[in-house]
Amino acid sequence: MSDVERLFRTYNAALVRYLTRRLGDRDWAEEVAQETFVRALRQETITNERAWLFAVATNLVRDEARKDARRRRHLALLAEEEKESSVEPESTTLERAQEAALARKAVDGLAERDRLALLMREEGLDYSEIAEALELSPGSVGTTLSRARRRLVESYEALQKARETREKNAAS
Amino acid sequence: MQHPDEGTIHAWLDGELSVEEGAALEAHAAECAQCAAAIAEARGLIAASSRIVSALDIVPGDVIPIARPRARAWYSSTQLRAAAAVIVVAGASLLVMRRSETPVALQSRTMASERETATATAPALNEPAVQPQTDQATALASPPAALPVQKKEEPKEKGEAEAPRRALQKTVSPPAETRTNAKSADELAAAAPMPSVVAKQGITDAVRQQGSIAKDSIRSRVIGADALSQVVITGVAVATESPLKEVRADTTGNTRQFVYQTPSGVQVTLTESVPAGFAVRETQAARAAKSRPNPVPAAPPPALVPQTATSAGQAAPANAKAVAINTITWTSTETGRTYTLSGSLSKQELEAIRQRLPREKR
Repeated sequence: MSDVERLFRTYNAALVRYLTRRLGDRDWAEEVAQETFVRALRQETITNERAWLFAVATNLVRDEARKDARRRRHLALLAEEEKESSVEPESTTLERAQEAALARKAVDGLAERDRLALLMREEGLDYSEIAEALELSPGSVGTTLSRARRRLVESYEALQKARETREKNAAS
Repeated sequence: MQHPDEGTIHAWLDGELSVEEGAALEAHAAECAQCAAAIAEARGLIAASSRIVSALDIVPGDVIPIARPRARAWYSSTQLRAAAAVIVVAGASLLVMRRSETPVALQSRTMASERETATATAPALNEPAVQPQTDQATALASPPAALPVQKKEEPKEKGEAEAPRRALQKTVSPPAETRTNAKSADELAAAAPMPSVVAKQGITDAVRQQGSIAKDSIRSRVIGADALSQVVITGVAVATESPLKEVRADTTGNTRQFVYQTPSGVQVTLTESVPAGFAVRETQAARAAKSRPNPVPAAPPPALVPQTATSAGQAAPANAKAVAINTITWTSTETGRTYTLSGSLSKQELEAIRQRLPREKR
């Protein structure tokens, strides 16, 4: 088994999940993950595999995202808003879909660095790996994560409250 | 130690502090209420943000299933209602019988059945405790025969249902068989929507479950006039809840025709047209019904409930006065099929009959 094959088997699932959460688009995420492993092929030595892969994937997204992220995100938000306003909140699956839409909005609302650190942490990267991938000082990862978590939760709760108010108004 | 900042607390909770740092923080938190609260809050934030991030994985296309008819509650199935109806009739018959039978001739059997009545009616009396749902149909459907199924599908009510079920097991011989019967009848109902045949199957099952009681109730009808008149009353009350009597069913292509007879003897025709999109599923269902090893019996035993009602003199065509043939049409939201119901009845009466059609046809 080649090295890249091993890398792929070990990290692809986590990388694709990270990228999907980051981008909100599974196909796009898989493309970026594949491109990341292609880059790994060309790399002679990788000291910290996981940190390297996440860093490259993040940079690839950043490069590509510059072009059309704004457009995509706008469209995604429009689609979610439309879905939210049209569905009946009667089934659990729909509620879960609404939850996902809120989560997407809340995550997208975070600062880029906070968001990436949080998503990487959720994939099990430790502080030193996150620091390496995001070129942060290791000492600041805790601060970055605590800020990211607080903001995420606060913004999610605010969005939730806003939705409830909207539903209440719609009902009355 | 100074109050640790939020980043340090998160690092500690993430397992990123050294052993010494962690121990110092822990010791400090044990004495500092403010930091203990901050740690608790940080734990909450970590858990909540983790949950929010996981929610990103719910991609709408992956979770929202293709719209399909919701599974029906176990108590709404026709055959369970029918079975419940039989038990109500049987129980009432027994009560009536015990009062009216001549003591000498029937004493021995009465004594034997007395025990069964007690156990059969006990769960019915306990019903409100077992079934807190407000649905009236539930109340009717929840007597003993339904309980084995309930046990399987609603384990959270197991505790509540346990007592009546124990009582039930004295009368119902093998619970395992009961469950199988109920299930197969249910499958048949799903595969081939032929209500009265399936309902009869359900009744047969119920008769099998409550064998001795049901036989007694049949016998009770030939025993005394007093008993008969009172049995009739229970029978009629139940019959309003039971499906219409199906006289004939024909299938031509995507159209099905059912002829029903109302308790007053009027025949109405129900035409069911399957929209093109549903035809394939229909064929599959029909094939599934055919391939079943034990299909619906060709000549099912007579249904108890409708007979009780009709033998009551209700069958006399009270509505003999000629009414012009009327027609009502609707489309089932559940199956997408179009129905036309016509007969020598007023539109209101046809509407009333529609309400009594098997649920999937309404």
